[in-house]
Formats: sequence, structure tokens, C-alpha cells
Amino acid sequence: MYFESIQQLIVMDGHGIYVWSAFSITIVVMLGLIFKPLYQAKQEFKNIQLHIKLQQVNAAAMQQKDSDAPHT
Amino acid sequence: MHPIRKQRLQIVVLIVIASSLAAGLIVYMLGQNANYFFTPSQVLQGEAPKNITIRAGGMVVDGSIERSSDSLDVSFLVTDGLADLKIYYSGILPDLFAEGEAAIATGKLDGDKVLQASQVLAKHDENYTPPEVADAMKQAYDLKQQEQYQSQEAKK
Amino acid sequence: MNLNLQWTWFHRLGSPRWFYQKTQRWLPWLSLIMLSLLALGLVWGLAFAPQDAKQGNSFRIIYVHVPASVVALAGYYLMAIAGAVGLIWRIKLSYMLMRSAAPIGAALTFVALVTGAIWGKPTWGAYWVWDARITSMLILLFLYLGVMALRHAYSSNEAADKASAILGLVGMVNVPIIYKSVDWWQTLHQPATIKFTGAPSMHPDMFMPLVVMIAGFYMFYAVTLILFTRIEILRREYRSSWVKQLVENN
Repeated sequence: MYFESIQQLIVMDGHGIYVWSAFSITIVVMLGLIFKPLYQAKQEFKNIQLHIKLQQVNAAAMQQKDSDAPHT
Repeated sequence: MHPIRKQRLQIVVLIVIASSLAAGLIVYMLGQNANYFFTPSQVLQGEAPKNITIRAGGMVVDGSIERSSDSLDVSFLVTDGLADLKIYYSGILPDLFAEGEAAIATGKLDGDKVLQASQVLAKHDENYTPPEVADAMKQAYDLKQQEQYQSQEAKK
Repeated sequence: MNLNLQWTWFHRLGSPRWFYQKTQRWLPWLSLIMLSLLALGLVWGLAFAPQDAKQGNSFRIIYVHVPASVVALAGYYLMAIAGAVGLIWRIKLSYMLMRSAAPIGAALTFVALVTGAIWGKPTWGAYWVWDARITSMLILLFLYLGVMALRHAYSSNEAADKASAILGLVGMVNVPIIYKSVDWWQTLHQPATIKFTGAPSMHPDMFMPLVVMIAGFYMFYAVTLILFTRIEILRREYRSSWVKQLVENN
């Protein structure tokens, strides 16, 4: 390691606050870019499942209607 | 390629060319105004306007930095190799501000062609070297200077 | 020979289904390479690279500032070209890529601006200066945000895609301006350290971790672009049978 101790690595001769804040902001933004689509994928799967179910229910209702038709 | 696609390609190319031309013109106009930056020789030749905020800068002259003992007032000379401009400033100077380094000051010129700066910024170059290497380079440079001096002495 | 035959590969490449299935297999590998590069670059840059003779340790910000800026600029070209391909050939996937590139590019431009501001304070003496490089980078952020916002201005995907693609193309002229701004104007920002021709003006001990970080950021860009585009595919293709099958098997 370039620094003699962890303490020095954190302080960086007084520049630590700048260096560490720049790196933290970068990492937070990058993590956000990774996890946002992962979360959205789950949501999208749920939406599509709902869409499929709705279609099935509609189709069943239509069939019911057709088979009911002659009696009325 | 399909003629319709060809037509669309032509439209796209046209958009790129037109916007490039517009941007080129803006760049050219900005260059004419040179965003109020002046070199020390331009200032001393009277090209810079007085009492308007301008930017001026150059290399800080060795041994020209004078600090006040009881306040943050500081004065120094910057040079572009042809002329020296005196700058007055009151405030904390950036870490990289040093003799032989470039500095850019924002402020107004007074009657004596002295810049009363409201902000002083240090400009650094694109070179990055570890301290040990920089020391070694400086030593090698000094040694070379010494050798040159000695060889010149020997010639005499 | 039929002229159209030459373009079939191009259209197959533009199939959302093909993209979704291929990237499923690529993603683990790309993520692995990305993580190793970024971890190596971060530790190397923060703890092992020597400090700069003039700037001291604040120069370490270069290891996030430069990769973010480089990829944000390259990403703009990708977005604009994807938009142009969409305009000319009406390839659906191309518009989806363009849409996905905008938020990633905006986030990276934001990172470049913020880390630059933090770096500016100890070295220049100011967080923000209306310098040509910084101002043109801010315009890049607005262009990215503009492409993102245009989507909400239209009710139909098709009209929004077209408008976004045109804005992306018009804004493309800003990218070479950003590159050359440090040479054209008297700026506070230093010229480029990495040059197209000639050696970099940086000691190899400091330059190597920077190369690793830039490679890591490119991998990060690839991974996030794929992730965002897959969402876009699900949103636009939810009626197609292969998406339904995919969801039902899940």
C-alpha cells in the first residue's frame, strides 16, 4: 500500500474528504443504475402476469356468454 | 437500400450538417469575444477594458509574491513571457498556487493597470508524476544545468 | 442477387427477442468482468497508486472523474447513432437502446460534473467555474435530460422515439466541442492526459489503474445498457407470445 496506515489512507493529508466523497457519490450512482432495472424487471413481470390473467378471464367470460346465448 | 430509407438517411445527414454549421458559427463567435480573457501583454498595451470584470492570467513570477503580515492581502506578478501584470488579491489562495505555476485571476483593472482580483484560481497542467519521480527529474535537470554551465566555463 | 438479402442479418440483429435471449447468457460474464475490473481499479487507485507531486492525494479523484466523463461522451454517440438507425431503418430494438442509453448517460455526466466540482475545490480554488469544458459538459447533461423528457411529451411511442432521435442527432455536435474545448479556449481545465497520438502525460504507476477503471466503466455501461434495454423490451413487447411464454415459465 502507498499509505503507511489505514488512518493515513482515510485522511489523505487533508484531501480525504474530497477523495472519499467523490468516490462515494460515484459508487452510489452506479449502484442505483444497477438496481433500478433489476427492481423494474420484477415489477414488469408482475404486470405482464396480471395482463395474461386478465386476458384469460376475459376469454372465459366470452365463452360463457357464447354457451349461454341459445338459452336466452 | 430502399428509396424511402435512402430519403430518411438523407434527412438525418442534413440534420447533422445543419446543426454542425450552427455550432461552428457559435464557436467562431465565442472565439471572437474570447470570453474576456487577457494576457499580461494585452493588458499593458491597453487592450483590456477598465472597470469591467475581466479574466487575466499567466505564470506567477518567481519571488514576486508579497503577503501582508496582518491580513490575507497578497500581491504578485503574472507573466506571459513578454510583460508582467501586477495582481492584488485578498483571500485564501488555492493549494496549487505557487511561483512558476499558472494562475488565472478574475477582477477589474484600476487606473495603474493593476488587477484588483475578486477570485484567484490555480491552473494545473495535464502531467501527473509521483513526488519521488518529480524530485529525481528535478535533480537530473539541475545536474544537466550544472554540466552545461561547467562546459561553458571550460570553453572560456 | 436480391439487394434486400444483404440486409436480413441487420434486421435479425434488431430482433428484441434475439437480444433478450442472447443477453441472458452474456450478463453473468459481463458482470463478473465488470466487478473484477472495478474492484481492482478502485483499490489500486485509492490505496496503491502514488500521489501526485503537485496535487497530492486529491488527484485520485481522476480515477472516477475521467472514466465517467469518457463513457458519458462515448455513450452519447451510441445514443445518437441508435436514434439515427431507428429513424432510417425503423428498427425497434434500436429505439429501445436509444431510450435506455439516455438515463445512464445522464447519470454518468452528473457523476463527471460532481466529481469535477469536488476536485476543483482543492486544486483550482473553486467548486464551479464557467469554463468552456465544464459548460459544454453541462449542456451534455441537459441534452441527455431532454431526450429523457421528450418521451413524456408524446402519447405514442413512435412519435416520442422520432423526436428523441432528432434531438439526439442535433446535440451530437456538442461532443466534439467538449473534446476540443480545452484547446480552443483559454480554460482553467487542463488539456487531455490521454492522447490519441503519443504517450500519456502521466507516470505509468498512476496511468495503469486509470486504464483499468476506464475499462471497468465501459463494462459497467454495457451491463446497465443491457439491463435497461431488457426492461424496455418487456414494456413494449408484452403482447408478443414469446414474452408471455417467458413470464409463464418464470
